[in-house]
Amino acid sequence: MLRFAPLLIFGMICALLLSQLMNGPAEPRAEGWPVGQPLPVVLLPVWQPGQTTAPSAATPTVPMALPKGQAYVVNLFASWCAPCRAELPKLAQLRTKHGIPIIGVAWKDSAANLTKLLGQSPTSYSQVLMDEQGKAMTAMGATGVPESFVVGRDGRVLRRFRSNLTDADIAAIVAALSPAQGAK
Amino acid sequence: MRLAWGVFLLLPMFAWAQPVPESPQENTALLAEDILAPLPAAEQKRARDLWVQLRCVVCEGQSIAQSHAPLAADLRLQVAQRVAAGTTSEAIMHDIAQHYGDAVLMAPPLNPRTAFLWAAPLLFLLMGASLCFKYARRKRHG
Repeated sequence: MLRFAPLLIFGMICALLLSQLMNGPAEPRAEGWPVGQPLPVVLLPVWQPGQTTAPSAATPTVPMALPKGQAYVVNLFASWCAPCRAELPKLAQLRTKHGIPIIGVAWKDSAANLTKLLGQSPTSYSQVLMDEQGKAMTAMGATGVPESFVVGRDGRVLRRFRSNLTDADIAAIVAALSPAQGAK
Repeated sequence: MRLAWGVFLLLPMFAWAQPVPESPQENTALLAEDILAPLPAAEQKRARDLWVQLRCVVCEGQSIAQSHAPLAADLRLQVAQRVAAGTTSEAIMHDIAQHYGDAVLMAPPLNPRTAFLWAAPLLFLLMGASLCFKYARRKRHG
């Protein structure tokens, strides 16, 4: 009997690894934090359209949020990130065609480059905040840009998109926030 | 026979192997260092110890203390600021793990999902020992 012990142990380990493989990851990477939670509170300086100088320590900060009762999208982006630039028309479509406010949070970006990218009257964002120190990034658990977070009327995060938005994502956001769906 | 035993008895030496010394890179750590500079030495050490315990989520196998990544610099800064604000180490680690998942902890927590991970080294050592014993016994009888 003891002769077969190594074989038995080997078989058990194989079965364990195989079962873990078949079950997939216990925490799906898809959404996760902070979906279902109130949007983390982060205070950041505002980028004013046309601004070309960096915000100073004296620049007032505002919360990265809208008042309760209003649904919106928070989009982490940067002017140096190509997928983020490619995503701008889709965000503009969300904002102008579907009337969903979009807060843009520019990570490690310069005011001058934002002005170069977005111009004097950005169509893609209702408001742009500057996140030089990654406060919003770390609060949202983001590892890179772009990322988008859909916030419901109760101030909770409904969905998280860990990559640039596709047309299907845009449709999903519109559906999630449409009053007909009885969205929160 | 003697060689087999010798090799087996030397195995635990690997337990004394030291990890590569970890020091933050000056160019990316400037901001966090500025926060730490005026703090008492014990608090500075507390922040640096936390850096070593947090994995850089955008690099392979580096702690945020070692990494050049901008996101690692942001996390170093955040840890330094919260240490300076007097937040406990447990609260800091808890919050970051909540945002990034357990994968951000250099030492994964012991729970049913990770039990095999933690038990594996001991398990493999025992399997190796039993093989050595069997080999030795066969030699003696053969």
